[in-house]
Amino acid sequence: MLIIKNLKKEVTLAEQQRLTILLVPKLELLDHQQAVICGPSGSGKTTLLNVVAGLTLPTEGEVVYDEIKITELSEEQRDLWRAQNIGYIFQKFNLLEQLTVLENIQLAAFLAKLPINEAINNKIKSLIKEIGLAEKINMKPFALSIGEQQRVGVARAIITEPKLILADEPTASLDKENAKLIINLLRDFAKKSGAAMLVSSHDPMVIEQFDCCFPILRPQGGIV
Amino acid sequence: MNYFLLIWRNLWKNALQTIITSTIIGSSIGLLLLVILISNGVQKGLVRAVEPFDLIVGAKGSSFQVTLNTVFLQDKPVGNIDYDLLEKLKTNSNVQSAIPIGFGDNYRGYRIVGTEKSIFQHTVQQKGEPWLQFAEGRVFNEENFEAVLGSKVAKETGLKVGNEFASSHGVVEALEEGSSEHKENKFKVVGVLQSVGGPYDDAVIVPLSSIWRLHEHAHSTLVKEGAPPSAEHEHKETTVILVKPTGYAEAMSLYKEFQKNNEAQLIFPSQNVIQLLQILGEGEKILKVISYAVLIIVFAIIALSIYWSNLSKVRDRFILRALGAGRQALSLVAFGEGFLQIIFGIICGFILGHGIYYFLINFLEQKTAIAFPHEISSMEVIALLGILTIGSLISLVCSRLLYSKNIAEEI
Repeated sequence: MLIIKNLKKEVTLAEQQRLTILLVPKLELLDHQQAVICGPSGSGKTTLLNVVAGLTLPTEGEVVYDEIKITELSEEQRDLWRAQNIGYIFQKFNLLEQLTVLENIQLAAFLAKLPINEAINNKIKSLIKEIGLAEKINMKPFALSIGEQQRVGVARAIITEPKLILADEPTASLDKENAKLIINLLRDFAKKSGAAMLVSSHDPMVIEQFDCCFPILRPQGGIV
Repeated sequence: MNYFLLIWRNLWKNALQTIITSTIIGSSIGLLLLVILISNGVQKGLVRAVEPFDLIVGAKGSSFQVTLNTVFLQDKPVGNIDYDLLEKLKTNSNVQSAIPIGFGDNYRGYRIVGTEKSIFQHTVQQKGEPWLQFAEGRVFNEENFEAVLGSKVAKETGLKVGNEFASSHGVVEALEEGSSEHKENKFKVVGVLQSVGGPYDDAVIVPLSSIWRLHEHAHSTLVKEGAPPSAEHEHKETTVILVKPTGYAEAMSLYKEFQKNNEAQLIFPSQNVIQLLQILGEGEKILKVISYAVLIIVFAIIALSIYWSNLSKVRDRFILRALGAGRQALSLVAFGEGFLQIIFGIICGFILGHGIYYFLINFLEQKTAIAFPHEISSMEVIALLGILTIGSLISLVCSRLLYSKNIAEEI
């Protein structure tokens, strides 16, 4: 279960000038729950996902996942925790251009310290087949459409069987048809693996597909 | 999947940048290696060439010219000295052996060296084995017009044991005015020498007496620089005498004796070579300073290359961080890219330096017949290890500095 309490993130603009970019008083996500974070641009959706993933620390507040206080872990501990528990999907440019489809997915398994052996390779291949890209397994991202790239991003996010999938506006660069496909793919995979999922979006078509929505508002006030 | 694959792919993602950087690093390393190779090669080549020549007694004049002519078979002889001097040296208690050597003729540009049988027993001090050893055939008979060929002469002229040839007057083929063939007395090849790794691979060794007989009617040219020794009216001559002293102190005594001699001088050819190396050393020092300056630029390029390369990889770094790669891992990847570029540069530089040196020594060996060794010296190994170490340290520092900031905060 993910619990977020009194989360506040400030950035320093200049000497003694700070700007609040995120305010989340409370958020709870149950195991296996799929929810969407909705809010306008600049409300801090991406920052919230980065804080949950342990990529950045909040100025105040705490993030607890399965009784582990993520905000109190060291950076190295957060890195390993993220690699083993989080599946992260970005808005666009999800993949490393220099690696093939297969290698991009292998990379996630490698960083999660999973052994890169025949079993994992078979698992990756079957996943690639499932997302309909079996023939493009050895292609580099530039040879794929944006929708296909996003599908590889989904496959890479779930290969480590994460407990929590974070998707930052995963449909923002896609057309309606591909957007629907990606959301369905994500929901199906999360359901099958039993992972919880937190998706950020301001697209009504995406929001309406989730039963649970956490609205985030743009923090009030200006520069402190 | 492993870090090496990621580093490798990262490098070839910006192939042009990688190739340009590696080429610049390689060219600089190649220049430094070339300077080291030439310095080492010239030094060893000259020292090896001079080894068989303990002392030389020659006509008064430039000692450098006598050394150049006798040891390196270059330039013209200074003049001739009385053959009687040889007899006196043979009976001198300070002398272990004395061998006459006479120049003045050539065969197709290869110097004819007139001497006596005893030269084939002459040993190189450091090795203790005969300097001139036979690949085939036998020693010449001093009464006949017989010749023993240096290995390169045999190879390049195609002359074999049993063949005959006519020598020409003058030390340089066709270029010297008045050069003419001695068709009346042809030399018969009776032996071919093994390579000595020096100028005498380019020599045609014949009995000194045969040169006297060829030039019986050329006494009028005796005083002229470069004239062959003759034996007109029982007045025998030779160009130089190769002297092996019984010891170092005896060599010094001989030197003192010759200081009083008005017609001949005693030369330590190794001293001439040392002087030559000192002169060359000045040029080498300047080249080394230039190479080191270029290397400093190379190290700056390595640092900039890592910085530029990583500036353009903000997105990649963020993806890797989001997938769970720690700063250490990202630092390792950046270091690996810099390190591999140094390795590419070293390989490139090694091939370039040794390649240019290979062509250079081939050219120089053709011109001088001095065998310049082509080997990896300890100086070269130290230089390469130094470059690798300093380059790696620069890569390490740059990669650590780059990842001291949190990429998520930067974005």
